[in-house]
Parts: sequence; C-alpha cells; structure tokens
Amino acid sequence: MKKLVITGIAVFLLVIFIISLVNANIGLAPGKLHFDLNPGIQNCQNIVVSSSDYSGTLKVRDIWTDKQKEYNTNHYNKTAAGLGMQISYTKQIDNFNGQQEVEVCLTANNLGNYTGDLIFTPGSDTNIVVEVGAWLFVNVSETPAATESQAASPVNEEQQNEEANNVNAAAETAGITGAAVGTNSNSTNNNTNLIWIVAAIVVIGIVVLVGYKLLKRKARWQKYGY
Amino acid sequence: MKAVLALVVLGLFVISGIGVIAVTQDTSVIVTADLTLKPTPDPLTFGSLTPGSTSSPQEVTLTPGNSSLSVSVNITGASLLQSIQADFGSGYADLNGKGGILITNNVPLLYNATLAIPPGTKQNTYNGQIVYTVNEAP
Repeated sequence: MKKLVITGIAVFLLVIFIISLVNANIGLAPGKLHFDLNPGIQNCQNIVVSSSDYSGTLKVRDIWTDKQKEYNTNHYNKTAAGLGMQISYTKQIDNFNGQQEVEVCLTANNLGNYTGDLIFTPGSDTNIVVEVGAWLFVNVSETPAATESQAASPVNEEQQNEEANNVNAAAETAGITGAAVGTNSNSTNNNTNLIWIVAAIVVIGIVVLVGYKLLKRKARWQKYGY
Repeated sequence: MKAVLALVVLGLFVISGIGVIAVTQDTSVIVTADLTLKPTPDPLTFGSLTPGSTSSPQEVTLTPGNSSLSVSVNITGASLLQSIQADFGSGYADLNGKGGILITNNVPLLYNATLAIPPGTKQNTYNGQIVYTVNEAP
C-alpha cells in the first residue's frame, strides 16, 4: 500500500515536471534592441527574461543576417564574428526561475546595418519546442552623431525609459504590462508656458487698470480741477 | 470699484490656475510584447505508417497571446521528419525552414501537416522536434 502511494506521488510529480516543460511561456523585455555603434566602441544593453511557468535551463544563442527586413530567422546564416562584431552575453542560464536580467554587449568593426536575433531556448520533453527571440538591430557608422542622436532622439529616449523600467515590465509575464514612470519633460515645458501666459495676462491687466485710473484722474482734473 | 472687482477675479483665476498646474499628474506606460505561442497537439504524432505511404493530414493550431508574432519553424532530429509538409492555406510546402509567419494577436493559426514515408525506409520509431522561434511581429 505504502509503495503504491509513493509511486503515485512520484508519477504525480513527474507529470507536473513534464507539464512545466510543455509550452513554457517566456517573456522578453524589450523584444528588440537597437545598437547605434561607432566602430570599435562597445555598447551594452539589458534584456529581462521572465516566466511564470518555466524554471530550469535556458540556452542562449545569437544568429545574424546582413539583409534588411529579413524576418525569417531560418535565413539568418551568419555569425556576429563573420560580420565583424564581437557579442557577449550569458550563453546558458542555469536554474532560471522567475526572471533574470541578461546583459548584451556589442562591438562592431565594419560599417553597415545588420539584423540579429538573440534566442532563448527552454528545455522540452516533447517534440515541440517554443523558443523566443529578441531582435537585434545594429547600425554601425563613423559619425559621432550616431551616439549623440541616440541620446537625443525621442525613439531612443523611449528605449532608455524601457530599459529603465525593464524590471517592472518583465515582472508580469502575461505580456502587456504597465508601469508609471517619472516626470515627463514635455509636460513640464507646457506648465512653464502656462505660467508665462498667466503672468502676461496679469501684467497686461495691471497696465490696463493703471492706465484707466490715470486717464480717469486726468479727465477729472481737467473737468473739476481736483 | 469695477476695476478692483476685475482685479480680484483675475487674482482668483491666477491662483486657481496655479493650483491646477500644481496637481498635474504625468503618466506613461511601457507595453512589452507577449511572446506566448501554444502549438497543439503537443506532441504531434503521425502514428504508424508503412514505407511509401503518406499520413492523413494532422491539424495543428498555433495559438498566440495578446501580441502579433513573427514565427519561424525549424525541424531537428530524424531527417525523415524534416520532410513534413504543411498547408497554411496556399498549398503544401516544406514546414522545415518556413519563416516569417505572421500571426495576429489572439487569432489562432491553423495548418495541416502530412508526412510521407519514402519507400525502403527501415522499420523504426523516428523522433524529432519542431522548433518554433517566436519574435514580436515587425
């Protein structure tokens, strides 16, 4: 009887283990990274991997193409080294559980635009595997503006906000997540403009009022002499 | 008197205006992609087949989550299984190597899969894996 119970528990645990490996839901935040690079200058960005139903080993690999707008990853037949880039990241995440941040560092030597995919593969005991990837969009140019524009452009500002809020974004693996963030500079500018408009109205009002009073006083002086 | 009243009203307007500015609340949201994809059935089996025969079509459903996805398919394992044919609505073609499959959020994508066993294939059980590489839709 005791043996039967132990066997039952073992089978139950095995089933749970197998279920945990089937159709694991893994999220990446962000789903794409943009690298605007100058030759020889390293740039690092972070991706947060998260899952509410998968724990275990995650293998990580990168694949590349030099074609633009190629979204069939089976055609990504180049390596980072083959395109003159050095990429570094954790190749295997052992004991993944919940969420983990992965730093991706990239250095490029050759000018051009390249597209890559950083793929995270979970373990699977069935004959179907679902792995998830983050697009890597790389633009290598010699203009110093490449880095400056990265800081200045609204798109990249958005990316920086995304990165700053990666942990929040990834904390909920269901996918669409939200996080309130700090002060919006555009809104601050609008407030400043409002204050100036209000101040201008007040000043004009006072000037009109004083002018009206003076005119009234002058008219009275001319009419009554006091 | 009227002028004084106007000034008071103006002052109240200014004060209330400043009050509104002071309670301005900024808000923003970061939306990340939902990379969920559930293929069914899992496992996909073609049953027992004899050399020279073709399996009956197996219906496969790819169910996405709340984001649109770009999916590429790759088959690993037994080379026999790499010849699986799939019909996504425009005729059968190799499933292995198919890519850039766009799946609209919350709309399951169905395809039929068949497997032909070449004549002379040795009696055995052949196993492989269908690997779906999922990225957010471009």
